[in-house]
Amino acid sequence: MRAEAVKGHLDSILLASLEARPLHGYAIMEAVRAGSRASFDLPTGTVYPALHRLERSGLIRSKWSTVSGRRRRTYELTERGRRRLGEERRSWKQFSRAVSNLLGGAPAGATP
Amino acid sequence: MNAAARSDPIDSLLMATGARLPGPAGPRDDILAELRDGLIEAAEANKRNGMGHGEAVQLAVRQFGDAPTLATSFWPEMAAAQARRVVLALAVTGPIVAALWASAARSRGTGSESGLFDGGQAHLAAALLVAAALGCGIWTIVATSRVVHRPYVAPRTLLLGAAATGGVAVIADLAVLSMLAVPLASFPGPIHQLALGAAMLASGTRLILTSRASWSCLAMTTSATR
Repeated sequence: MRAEAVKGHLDSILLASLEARPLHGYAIMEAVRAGSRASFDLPTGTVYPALHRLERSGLIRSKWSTVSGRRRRTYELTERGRRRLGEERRSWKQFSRAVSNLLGGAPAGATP
Repeated sequence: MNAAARSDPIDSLLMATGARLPGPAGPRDDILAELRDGLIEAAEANKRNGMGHGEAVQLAVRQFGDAPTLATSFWPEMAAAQARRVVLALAVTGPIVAALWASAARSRGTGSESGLFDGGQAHLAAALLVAAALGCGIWTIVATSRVVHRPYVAPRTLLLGAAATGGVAVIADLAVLSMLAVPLASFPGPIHQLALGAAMLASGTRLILTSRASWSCLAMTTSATR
């Protein structure tokens, strides 16, 4: 799938990937790849800056730990992030339903 | 580049990326540490898929992209960090320098500094400059804050805001320095001269550091287009 198609939904996708549990950056990319059945292969240069931006916005928080002798930054949703994800989910359902209605059936206004 | 970095593609990529990330060392080190962890995890995943060590590492490096692309993607974050650092440094050093000048004024032994502040328009201009520096500084701090929810501000604008804060602070410092140094230097006494020397040294140091920091902010605005 084209990267441009994901761009507008990147924040929602990242928030959703953190809904179940805290994850580090590479695990988030893996979760998105697996969750989308390999349709989304997010570029690294997009994911990390986006995570940092979400953290600055207060939607996620991070903490550092040491794993196998190297520093690791793990992200988790904040309460605000959880609320935002809920809003994004509702908005997406409305949008996708509307687009499905338009694209999935007979053209609107068509006469038999 | 050292021999270890030449032989390890991950170190090479991180060194090249770090060299392209201007700004404070703390955020840069955090970014590089996070990338290193991700690169090693990617290489491990590639090895689990049956690749040899060298091939797995090379593929991980390719998956993460080249250094210029990575550095460009982190540039906005570094720009905000740089702008914030410059303005915070000014905010911290300003009161210290002001306190030293107040101390020098008191130490001249007359018991009052009022005679130093009779300059009318010159002092009004200095006060306006200080107010302008404060205004630019507060705007930059708010615009880079994690706590205050605010509209998006372009990183380049943040850098220009920090550079403007520094520039106005330099002019304000020079104005205050020129107004206070000469009248205070005419008073005798070793304690007074010591206090005056400390104030002038602090002002001079702040002037040099502020000029350099403002220049680095301006230089960073152009580095994004390289």
